[in-house]
Amino acid sequence: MAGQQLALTVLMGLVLVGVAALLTRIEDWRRYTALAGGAVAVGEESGYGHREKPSGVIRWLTTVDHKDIGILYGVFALISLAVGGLMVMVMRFELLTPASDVISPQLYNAFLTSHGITMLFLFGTPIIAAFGNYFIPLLIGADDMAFPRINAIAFWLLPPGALLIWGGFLIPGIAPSQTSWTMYTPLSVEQAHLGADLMLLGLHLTGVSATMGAINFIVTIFTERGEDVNWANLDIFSWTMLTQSGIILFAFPLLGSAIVMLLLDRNLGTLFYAVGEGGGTILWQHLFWFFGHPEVYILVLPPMGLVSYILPRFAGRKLFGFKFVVYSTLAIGVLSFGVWAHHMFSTGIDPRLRASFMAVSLAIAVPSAVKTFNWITTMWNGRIKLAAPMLFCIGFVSNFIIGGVTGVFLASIPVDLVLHDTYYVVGHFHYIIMGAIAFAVFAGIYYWFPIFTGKMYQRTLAKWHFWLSMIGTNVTFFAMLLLGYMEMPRRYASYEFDPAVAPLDAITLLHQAATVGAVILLIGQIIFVWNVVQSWLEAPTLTDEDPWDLKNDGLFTREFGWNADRLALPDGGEEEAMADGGEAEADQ
Amino acid sequence: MSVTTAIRGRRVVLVVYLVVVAIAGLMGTILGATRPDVVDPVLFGVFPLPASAFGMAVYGMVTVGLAVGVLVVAVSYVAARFDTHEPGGE
Amino acid sequence: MSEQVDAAGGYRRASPWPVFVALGFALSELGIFVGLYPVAVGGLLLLAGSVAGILRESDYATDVWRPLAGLGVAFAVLGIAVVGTQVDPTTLDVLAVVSDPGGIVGRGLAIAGAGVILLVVGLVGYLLE
Repeated sequence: MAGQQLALTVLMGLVLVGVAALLTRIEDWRRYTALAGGAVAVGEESGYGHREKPSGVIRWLTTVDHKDIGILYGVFALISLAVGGLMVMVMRFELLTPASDVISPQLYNAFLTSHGITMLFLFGTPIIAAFGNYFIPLLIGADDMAFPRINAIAFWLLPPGALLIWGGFLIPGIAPSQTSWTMYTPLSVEQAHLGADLMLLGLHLTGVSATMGAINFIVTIFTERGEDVNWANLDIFSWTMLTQSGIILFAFPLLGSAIVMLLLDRNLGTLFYAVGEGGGTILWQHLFWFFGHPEVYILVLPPMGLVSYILPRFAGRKLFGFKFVVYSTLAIGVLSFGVWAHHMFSTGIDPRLRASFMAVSLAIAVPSAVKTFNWITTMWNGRIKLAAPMLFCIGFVSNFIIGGVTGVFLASIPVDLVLHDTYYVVGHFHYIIMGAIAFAVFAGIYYWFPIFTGKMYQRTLAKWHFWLSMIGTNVTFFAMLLLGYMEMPRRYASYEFDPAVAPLDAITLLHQAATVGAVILLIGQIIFVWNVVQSWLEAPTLTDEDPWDLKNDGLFTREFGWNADRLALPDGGEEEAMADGGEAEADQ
Repeated sequence: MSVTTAIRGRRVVLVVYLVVVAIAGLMGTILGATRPDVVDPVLFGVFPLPASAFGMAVYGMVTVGLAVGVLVVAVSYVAARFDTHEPGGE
Repeated sequence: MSEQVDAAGGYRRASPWPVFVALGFALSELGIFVGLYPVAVGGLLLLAGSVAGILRESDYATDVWRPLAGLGVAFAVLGIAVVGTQVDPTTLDVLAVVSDPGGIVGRGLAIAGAGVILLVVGLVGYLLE
């Protein structure tokens, strides 16, 4: 024990000394004058003045440029997507047969927990932050985000957060968390696995990161808009990012508090969630879902903004009913805080409370329906170009209708009491998360690929990616809806039911269909990764400043204008464009 | 630079509509053929249909066809009345 | 477009402090909640040092020593308050508490210890300059 403490102390001491030495080499923090790195001193300013970025790894570790941070978020998110996806592939292979024969139930539960946490907090929010960080300043005519250093802090909280969340798997000898992503008490208080504590800590870090990012977006959009960008002509993606940031501001601190209370209950003997002396186990559910429902709107509003932004471009016209889409977005933002107990219909809360939550849950379908209506109406009078971004947008609309309607069914208490905790719920939310949110993310990556990379992706591979994803999504998650109707419970590692009581054959067949669909999805994503990486590395540099023919329809927007300025520079983009405040980046 | 040709928006919406109705029919056929003992299609809650592949297919196609069809009709009405963008090419 | 400048008049494209703020915050939390006291103290030192660095870099402070000392005072107060929730001050046997800390008391002591170190470093640095 003492030896362990001593070793840790020495290690920490070495880390601190190492950090101090590194910092002294890079910065003269005592007087802040220029030192190493070839940096140019600008008056009293030191280190990296406004003319230079360092090169190599140091550049990525120290950047506060919103575009670099966007790329960091994006790479991090896509790696997390791969990790979360591989976890669920193992789960789906386990579920091919009723018995628990591929992995142990404990490992299944651990993957179950981690798949959810990884996808929601390490892929969902960061990939949205990637798009937001890269493009919001460009779209609103700002130099950068309002707080560039806080922006960097927010990103750099994520890698330690991820390591902590996956810590249960990475550190030998400790058990990973098996609480499921919803971490219901009393199980989450009593489960002694150290992996659960690490996961909670990691989750707290990602929450702090999201909150910092949200503050940054709100202040930037409010105060850093260019002269010609006002509230009336603010683009739809910025509107959704603003609303999402508002939701994050009110929802994530609550998650952080609930997590801290849980950590205290687990480690320091407090009684927040204790039965009798404490708030009771249902306190956690209320706190968690007060965060948890706005969380799903945090995840879906910016992707809807992406679709509202991209779909019209490939229909050759402006979005129909822009104002209605904005009002719907704001309405969703407000209403999302009033529906949380629809996740708790079967917990025995007062029926009058349940009824009020049912009413608001049904009401919140209306603004989403308005948006869906507007997207289809935008297409109706348009001329559609079926490029990959557009295919994913149309797929979004189709999958969102299915996911949304199944959600409306679940909002009805009698139906929910039958379908709660079955695969129907899993199918419902995966239609939205995979079928809608991920599709919008793919649309955004393909649409802005020329700006991110200066190259064009391979079109045929992108179409394969779309069709495999579309078919895979619908096979997998429609099978899950049917499994739910057959009352297959969720979060089960095995399903060896007595065939006399439950239709085991049909359930097995549907699980196998879902696994086949998951394999189809996996192949599609492998093609996606191949396409992105290979095109980025080997495709010829794009010289066309308008790869999507936006000028033809009068839809050439700010971010492509910025990109055009960058391309027009004499060395073809090696230096950064003057458009963003006169910064020139020397390529070392 | 884009080489994809443009298709009229109405055609895309209608094709998607027909595909969705067809898939509803396909799912109905599969469910009706594999589990005739469990399914009990009642069209609009009023008209009982045979618990077979045919009955389920009809149920699916009529329900989905009507629901999404109403949506498409509403879209075309609203677009005709309120959409200032001219359809068709340049 | 408006030129966005910080208080010193330069527009920084890179800063080494954010990654260490994040690392310090992560290590502090890990140390405090899991009970790894060296990690907690080290993390708090890293966090406070990086925050002082950022404040100096963005010219909200004219030297690093006073922010360090200020953060030290804050942590010391917080740490003592945490210890105070568990220990009755009138019956306080300081030596016993310090030599065998555990649980909440240990964590409070770690925070207070980090605070004291920061305060000393801040004062010494300020006086030497």
